[in-house]
Amino acid sequence: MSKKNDKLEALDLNAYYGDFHALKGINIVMEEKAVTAFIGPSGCGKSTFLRTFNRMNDYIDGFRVDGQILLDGRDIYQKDVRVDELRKEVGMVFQKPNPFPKSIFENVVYGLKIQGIKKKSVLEEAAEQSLRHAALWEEVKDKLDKSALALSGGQQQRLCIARALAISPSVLLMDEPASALDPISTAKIEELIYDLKNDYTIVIVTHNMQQAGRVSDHTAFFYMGELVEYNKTKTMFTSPKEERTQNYITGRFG
Amino acid sequence: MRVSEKIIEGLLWLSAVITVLVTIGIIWVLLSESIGFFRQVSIVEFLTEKEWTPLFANKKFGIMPLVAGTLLTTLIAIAVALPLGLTIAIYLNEYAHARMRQIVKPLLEVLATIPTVVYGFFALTVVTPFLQQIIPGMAGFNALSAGIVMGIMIIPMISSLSEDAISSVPRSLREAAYGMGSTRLQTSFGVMVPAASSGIIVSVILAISRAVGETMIVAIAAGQQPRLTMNPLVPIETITTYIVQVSMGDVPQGSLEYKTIFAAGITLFIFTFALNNLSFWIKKKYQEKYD
Repeated sequence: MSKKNDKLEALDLNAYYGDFHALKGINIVMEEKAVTAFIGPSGCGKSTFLRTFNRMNDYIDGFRVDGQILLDGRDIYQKDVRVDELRKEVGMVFQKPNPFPKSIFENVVYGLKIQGIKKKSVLEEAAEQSLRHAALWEEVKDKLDKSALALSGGQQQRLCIARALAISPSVLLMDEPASALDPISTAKIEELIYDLKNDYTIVIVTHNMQQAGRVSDHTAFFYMGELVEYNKTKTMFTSPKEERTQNYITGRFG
Repeated sequence: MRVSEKIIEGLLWLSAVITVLVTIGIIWVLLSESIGFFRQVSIVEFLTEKEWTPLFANKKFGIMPLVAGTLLTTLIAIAVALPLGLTIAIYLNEYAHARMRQIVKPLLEVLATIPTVVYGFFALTVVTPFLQQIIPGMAGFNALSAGIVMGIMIIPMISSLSEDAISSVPRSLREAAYGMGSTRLQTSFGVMVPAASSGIIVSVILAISRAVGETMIVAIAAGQQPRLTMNPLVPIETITTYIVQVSMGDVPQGSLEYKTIFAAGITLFIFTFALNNLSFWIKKKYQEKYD
């Protein structure tokens, strides 16, 4: 297999909530069109770290970072970077499905509409394509004008994925995307992640070790704000280098 | 123990009953006196006659000039308060830092504590002369300056209720909007305001209801001349102002002139009652939607 390009990089990244040192000197390189899983116990900083890649932490009072986050080699914390432009490149799916209280169609095309795209044929095509991509098209194609809130939780989450895909980002951040879903929906989302990595660089935060093992190519283990170990998922789960990693993945704490 | 429990229960029951009784009493007085009025003046005349001159020799009993005055000042007030109040609410919610919010919010509450009589004189002695420089033909008493000042008075009502409505929109929706690359403006107007719309509508209805019932500002600054017009530059009279005017005058109790107060009062009551019920209904519907 040919060497893939580096897509995302963190260099000596520190993050603080006021006085609390949430992320401590993180260095990591993630390659494109691969799935990287962040695992670790609650409060270890993995979600905070995920959210630095689309600067979602910017709105939290007292939050600051130093160090660099590079997307395709460009530091996204530079002053001249527009966060709204950045987030069109780096899409996000949240823990709890959060569709807008609008129709299914309006949800999917939201990102296109705010970019000023109004042409109905373009929107319709993008909606169908994104919904197909998110494996939801067959279930909703006859009720696109129905409220998104009438869908099941799993369908809502796939709708949120379709919504994120519609603006063709290159990176997809997923913050425990299946933790609020039932096992069948979870399986569908995992299957979807597997398909999506052909086109997208995916970073997924998960509490579920089996899930990390199933969907990811690389796994990063965080503990108390530090990146303890980062390796190929297979290697990590069969022969972890660090004792803390071993203890965590064998369920001795967490 | 059980006895004191019973006593407290009785006291609580009594307080509840007193408020209900007072309300019933008010409605009863309004109704009985109005019925007396409508025995002498037909409802058709009351609703269709274009003049309201119960205190003159040539008596005419058309409520419409008073309703028009009330609607006109209310309309102006809302036209001032809605854009400003909503902008403030969005600013506080989406743009302002925590410290800024802590300063601005109490300051806005101060606006709500100023006695309305002060607002009235502010309208008459500051706003009217200022407006007269811009609009030369404007009368000294007019609906415009009373309406504007009334609008300023109800800004905090709209801004703080709307702010509550916007901040009760689930955080996840805001994150969804930002996550899709929305700017703050797109997040506010495309997602937050629509999601909070029922709460915002309730705030506006309550503000309207407040403006309809407002008395002092219009009594001082709008003149006391019932006139069926939508021209904001001339003196008008609102329902409330008329009630004050007659109540303070020397109209003999029991006379037809005296009963006009109650006819005007019940008209006002119907307006505010309908508005409050409307807001209650919307609020209820909105809560069902989010549960």
